[in-house]
Amino acid sequence: MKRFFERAALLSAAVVIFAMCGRGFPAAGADVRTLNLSTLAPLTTVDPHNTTNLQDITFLKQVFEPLVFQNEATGDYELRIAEGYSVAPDGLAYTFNIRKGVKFHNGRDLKASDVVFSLKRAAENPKVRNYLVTVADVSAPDEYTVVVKLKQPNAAFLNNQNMVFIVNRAEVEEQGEEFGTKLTLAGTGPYFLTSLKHDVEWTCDAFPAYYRGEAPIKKLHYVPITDASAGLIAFESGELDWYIAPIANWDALSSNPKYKTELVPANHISFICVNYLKKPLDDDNLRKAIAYAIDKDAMNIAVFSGHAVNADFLIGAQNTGAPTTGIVYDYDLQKAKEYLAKSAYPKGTHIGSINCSAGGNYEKMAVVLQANLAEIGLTCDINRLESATNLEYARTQKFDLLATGGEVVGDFDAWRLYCDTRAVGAYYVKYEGGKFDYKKMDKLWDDGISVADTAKRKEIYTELNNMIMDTATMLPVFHRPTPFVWTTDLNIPRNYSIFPQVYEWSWK
Amino acid sequence: MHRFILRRLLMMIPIIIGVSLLIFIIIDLVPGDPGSNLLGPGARQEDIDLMNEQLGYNYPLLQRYGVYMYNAVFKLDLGKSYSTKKPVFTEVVNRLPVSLTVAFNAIMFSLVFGVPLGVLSAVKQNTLFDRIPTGLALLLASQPAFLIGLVLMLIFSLHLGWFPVTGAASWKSYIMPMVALGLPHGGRQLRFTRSSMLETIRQDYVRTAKAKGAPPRRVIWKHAMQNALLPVITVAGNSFGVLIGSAIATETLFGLPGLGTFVVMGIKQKDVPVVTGGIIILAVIFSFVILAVDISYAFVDPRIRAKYSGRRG
Amino acid sequence: MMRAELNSEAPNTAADILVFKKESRWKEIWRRLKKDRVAMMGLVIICAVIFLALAANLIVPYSTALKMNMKLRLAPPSAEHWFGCDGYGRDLLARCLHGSRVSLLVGFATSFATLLAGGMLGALVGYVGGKLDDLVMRALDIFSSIPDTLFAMAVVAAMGPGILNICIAISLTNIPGFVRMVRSSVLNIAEQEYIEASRAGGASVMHILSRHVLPNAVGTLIVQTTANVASMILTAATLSFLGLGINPPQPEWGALVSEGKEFLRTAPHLILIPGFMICAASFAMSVLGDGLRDALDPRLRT
Repeated sequence: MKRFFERAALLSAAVVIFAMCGRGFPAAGADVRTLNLSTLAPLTTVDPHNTTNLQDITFLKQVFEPLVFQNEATGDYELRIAEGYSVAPDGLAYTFNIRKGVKFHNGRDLKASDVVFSLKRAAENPKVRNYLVTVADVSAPDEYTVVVKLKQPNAAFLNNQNMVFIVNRAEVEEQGEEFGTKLTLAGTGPYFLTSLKHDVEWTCDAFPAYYRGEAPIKKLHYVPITDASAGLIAFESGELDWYIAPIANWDALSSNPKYKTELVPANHISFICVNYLKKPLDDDNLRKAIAYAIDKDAMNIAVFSGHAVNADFLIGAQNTGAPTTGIVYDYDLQKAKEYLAKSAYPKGTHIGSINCSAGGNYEKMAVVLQANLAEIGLTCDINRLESATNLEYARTQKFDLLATGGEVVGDFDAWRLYCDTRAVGAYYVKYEGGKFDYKKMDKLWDDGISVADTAKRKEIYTELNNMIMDTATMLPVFHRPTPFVWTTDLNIPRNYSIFPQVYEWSWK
Repeated sequence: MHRFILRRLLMMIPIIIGVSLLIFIIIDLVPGDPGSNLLGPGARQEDIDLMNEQLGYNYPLLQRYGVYMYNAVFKLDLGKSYSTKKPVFTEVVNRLPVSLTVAFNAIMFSLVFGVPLGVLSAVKQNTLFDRIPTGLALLLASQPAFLIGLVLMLIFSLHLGWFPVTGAASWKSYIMPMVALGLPHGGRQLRFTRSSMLETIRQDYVRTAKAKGAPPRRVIWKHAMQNALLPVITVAGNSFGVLIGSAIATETLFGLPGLGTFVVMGIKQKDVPVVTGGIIILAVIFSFVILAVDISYAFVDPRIRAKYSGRRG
Repeated sequence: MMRAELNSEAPNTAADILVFKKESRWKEIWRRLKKDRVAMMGLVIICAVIFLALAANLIVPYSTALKMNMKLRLAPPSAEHWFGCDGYGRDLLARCLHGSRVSLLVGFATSFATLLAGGMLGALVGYVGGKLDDLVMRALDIFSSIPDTLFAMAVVAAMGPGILNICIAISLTNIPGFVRMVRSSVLNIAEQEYIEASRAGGASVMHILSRHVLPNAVGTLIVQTTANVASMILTAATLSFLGLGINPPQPEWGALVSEGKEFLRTAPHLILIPGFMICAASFAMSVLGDGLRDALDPRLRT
């Protein structure tokens, strides 16, 4: 017995020592201060053509760059790898002049062939193919010119380029299948990767040969923190310098002089889908009754402590072509009751269930929506689902009501996927073959990107928006807030609603 | 003894086949497909189909299972994660030390305070020395791990600044997970030690020893303890095996890249190779841990050794 | 010391034994249990909780548990709302009361299902032995080598949410352990001399199982089931925390705790009160289980 315990003790000591080997303190004491940041999930990949995951892109934007970049705050296009571009009069060809002297992090020079390779590579990956769906051909007439030919005019083409990153052909081919899973220097951005453990931490240094000049902050250190409460504690104990805080703690944070804070409405829309193909939701008046019964303010308070911006339209006004006038449903119990009375269904009708993904903001929206509907005398259940299942049911129209939302980047055309009947599988509400004039909707989507003039586009989209809103099948609720907090010794000229630009930041 | 170990090792083969098939089927029943999951909302059906084809998901279940098992057995290849494209085997091997460290530390911590307090409360049954620890144990054992973890973070990271909240970079990162996980387990350990000890104290030979006038302390240490601790070792070994894969809440909270969260992410994204590979490895580890417990049992108790080397376990 | 008292009360004379045999076994157990003050406290608590769960509708209507009022959002406990209000301004007391119904239902239903399925299977394989025993035990090895939480998650993900599916998932993960326990206690009993004797006397398998084996194993079953209720309530709470609980707005203790998590620092009562409920119920069931084990312990009887 005694010997057993002795051996067990020795063994356990050995295991502990083994486990702790190589886990020293993180290197500290360097004279440049490291900026500590976090993402909400481990990095899935460092291949920018193999992810649309927001957490990945948030980081990858510091390392990789597109041809042109759309500023989230102003909506303007800024030149990055392209130093200029021109559009053919028929809108079917874009010619990009590639900036000379751009270096990849591995020291190689960027050539037009890298751009052609990147666009073609992205067009093959189902994850990002979407951004290049109208592209017919990409070619490089010379070392610093790239011509992109389109199948049809696409006013949102430049906006889409925002998410197509340029990588170094030679390095991607060298790494082959492994590209994305290990350290890479195939980017041109202001920061280059210096270490990479996808699940634990990854670090970057400022790229000295960056063509816009070396970044003021020299070192970045990222950790993934999935739990928001833990992340906030990490920020408060000084382990992070910048954080998107849980909204429940906003009041305490914004009144604390130790921190700087900014509340930015995200370019995101939370909305409710109503499946008009199911009974009794096929009744137009019933759906309008639902639309007027939604108490956006109550939802806002319950979900975001009242800090969200209530939405009248499907997309925020800062985006290109976003409508600002038209049909709007505001909470109005009287109107809701009137429409319900006009409908074929009496008070007390059970209208099915509200689907939502479990444990998040949409679940809270669903809970309030259920209470809202109860107020006009409609009953329903809530179906909280794993997010994967929820998505599957949404695609296959296996729902009655659906509380959901999504990021919309830059252009009203981004909404096309949720509505265009030819985007099979993408939409939640299926207009195709239904009772609404879906052919006209599709035509308006096409018209919307075939003209370049923004005012004209807005006109088209206003008409389209009215058509969609009149069906009362997709009901905008609010734009969620993004509560940024950061330490006072960090200078941040502006917080963008989705993707931070660390290049603009500096230490005090 | 060797035959016993060999037999047990061979028994792992049907377990692995059973576990992998079971998980394959269950994950297949989860609605949706990996393609639509990876591409997220707003993806077109054609892209989803292409993605599923690239992932090799379009074949029938049994064919996929056959290919999977062929690669797993003959090439030691557990496939690649659908979402990260990284080989599942390497991913698991990378995460294993974290899970082992967390589970091992937690069990050690739980033994360190659970066993002595359990013995104490058994020996001093129905006194304050019994009531306070058992009450405390029940309190701890019925707390969700995330609650203890959050409270620890508030105290030791935010207010005292002793331990970091995030990362698995230094040994300091493992202290709070150890306590958060070890406290409820220690509570269970304490209760189990107490009842096992009580059981032994009531055995005839202990009573006989007492009746023969042996000093109480000697009776407890010499006779009762050794026998009472055997089941305690079993339970600790078992919990260790279980904890490797199920410290999910703790891993999530402290941002530790362990196996539990790995598999949970896989379940959520219908990442079949991740879930199957992860659970196969967890099952193998669990079987090994149980085997180790049984061997250590035999190591301690010659009667059991004799039994093992004789007929089947 | 209570144990010593009990021992001194053990029947010593022939007359005592006669009296002891006349007194039914259950009465005897109840008599012992009554002396265990801690176990009785557990019994009282659990009875009170069950009573409150059953009478929840009489105390406060279910609609109160759903009634939202954004003005009362995160309100601390007050005279009007004893337990305060949650993130939607719903009365937490009403939610805790009505939540106890689901939590207890899950706890008891899964324990009972485990008892039935695991108990029967365990008794059967334990007594019959041989090939059947081997087959069943190896099949159970497969189940028990998969971590419980992961298995339950996968099952719920595959079958969808809902009380029934959660109960099935939790029961499935608990059955292997229960079978093993019942099997070993049956094996123990089957080796006893009197069983051997009646077997030699030509009694049928069913007769031996129903007359000798099961009645003797029943103590272990009861104790284990009681302890199971506590752990099942906790498992359900954990699943809720991992996002696999029942559908809102139905309250459930685990769900209340996980809903309260985001307000741990701003409105701690939202997590502490339901957390205390879980604690109290599982404490009560655990001490009751301990008390029953002591009361049933045959070594204390003779």
